[in-house]
Amino acid sequence: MTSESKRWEALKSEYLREVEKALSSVKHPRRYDVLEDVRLHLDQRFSDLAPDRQTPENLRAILNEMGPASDYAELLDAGPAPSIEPVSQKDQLQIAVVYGISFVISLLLSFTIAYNFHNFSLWFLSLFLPLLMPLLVIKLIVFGLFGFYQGRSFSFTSFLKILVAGWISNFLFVFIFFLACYAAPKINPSFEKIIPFENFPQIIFLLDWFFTLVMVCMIQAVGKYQKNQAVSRNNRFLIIIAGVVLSNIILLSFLLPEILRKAKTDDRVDHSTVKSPVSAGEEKGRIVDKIDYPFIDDAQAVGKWKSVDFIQKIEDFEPGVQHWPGDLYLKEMILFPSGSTAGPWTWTKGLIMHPGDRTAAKYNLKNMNGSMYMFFEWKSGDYTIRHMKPHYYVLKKVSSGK
Amino acid sequence: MKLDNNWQTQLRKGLLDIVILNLLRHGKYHGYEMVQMLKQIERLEIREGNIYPILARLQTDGLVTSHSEASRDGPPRKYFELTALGKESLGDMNAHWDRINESIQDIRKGVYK
Repeated sequence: MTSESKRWEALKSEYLREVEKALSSVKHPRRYDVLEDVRLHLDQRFSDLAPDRQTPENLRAILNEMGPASDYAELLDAGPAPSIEPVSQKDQLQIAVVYGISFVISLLLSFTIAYNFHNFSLWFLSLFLPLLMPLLVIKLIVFGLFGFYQGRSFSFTSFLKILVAGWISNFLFVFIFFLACYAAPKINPSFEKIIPFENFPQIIFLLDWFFTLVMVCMIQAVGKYQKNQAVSRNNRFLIIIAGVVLSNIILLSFLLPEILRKAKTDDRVDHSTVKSPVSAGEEKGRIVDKIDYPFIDDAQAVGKWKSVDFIQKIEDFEPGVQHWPGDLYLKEMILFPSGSTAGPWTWTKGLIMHPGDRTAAKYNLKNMNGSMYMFFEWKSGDYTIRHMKPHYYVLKKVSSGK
Repeated sequence: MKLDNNWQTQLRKGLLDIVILNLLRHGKYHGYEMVQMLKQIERLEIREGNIYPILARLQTDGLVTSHSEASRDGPPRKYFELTALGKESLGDMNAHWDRINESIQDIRKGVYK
């Protein structure tokens, strides 16, 4: 490096430090871009200078022609800040409509998944629609208070705001929901009849929060993209709508294989047979089985049984192989000769009844490789509430118990 | 007459925006190139560094966009050009500027309509 180059580097660094210091007073997102542009400009000016003209005077003249450092801050700071571009009331209303649509879709997706893509007719009118209006009102108000309809760009801060607004709106909703479900009937028992949420799958709250998060992030990202691309205002609304639709197509594309799988399963399974033959009907969307059967002894069933697997179909079972990846919730079952059990169940030949849940689960006994196995229908909420075909616990007989 | 410094600064800020946007109406340019072109225009005093904060602000406002292109004689150059919104806004700005200019001329001539 020549002495002129060294001198220039020193002068340039000093000038850039002054510019940087001046720009630090302006909280503008592009202030470092400006600094980099000035650096490149200075490099270009120096390289254009013939070696015999690289005198200290000429080097200082370059910097003088650039202008004082304070000009950069002054010129960058002019005009409205980028994140608070004024949005007209009409635009705000349009943005609120887009958010409203995304909230409806979030709840719809949450129900669809919570009900495992089944029983649309069961939940749409009795649960989804009654919940939609209060949830929509709460979310629109909360997100409005957080300033989401002001057309601000997506940033880390706005992401945190989405998280917080999502939590607050869902917390408020859950609070009101539980107040309605549990407190209201205690105040007046007649309220119980008008609140149909007794067996409500509460995972919907979590799913709805998650989908709301995804949707709002999508809307913000689309907003930022169109701002960067400087789309005219007339097209913004259409582009945001397109973004929401696109985001849903992406979401559904992830879910589509499952939907198709379920659709195929639905073709094979007659829904009337999903309900057990012992089913007595439904109460508020919940399957209730007949459980008042007279006791008939079954000597083979009496005894202690240990759980060895949890399977979808009886034919899936292979002795010595556990298909269920985790711990088995039901550890054992002890059937006494009188029709009682060691648990909450009662039993009669071919059926194990749960008086609390009002379910009657079939059991089948099979002798395999010299051991006796019981295939016990597991009638959890998936069966009673979501109307899914029950899976089976496989229990191995460990003692006759007599 | 010695002009008030703040008035000059404010006027320059407004003028530089419209000057740079009008320059970009004719094509895409890198910063150094724009400075050289502006320096050739008489009576339009611009300090070389002034262009960059204005370009940064115009980018943030969505009126100008930039992209880098490789250069044969140095580091990649950042080229600036008008966006659709920039073209639309420039039309409004020029029309507004013409109206203001006419109004000032009228006032100078003593025409008060």
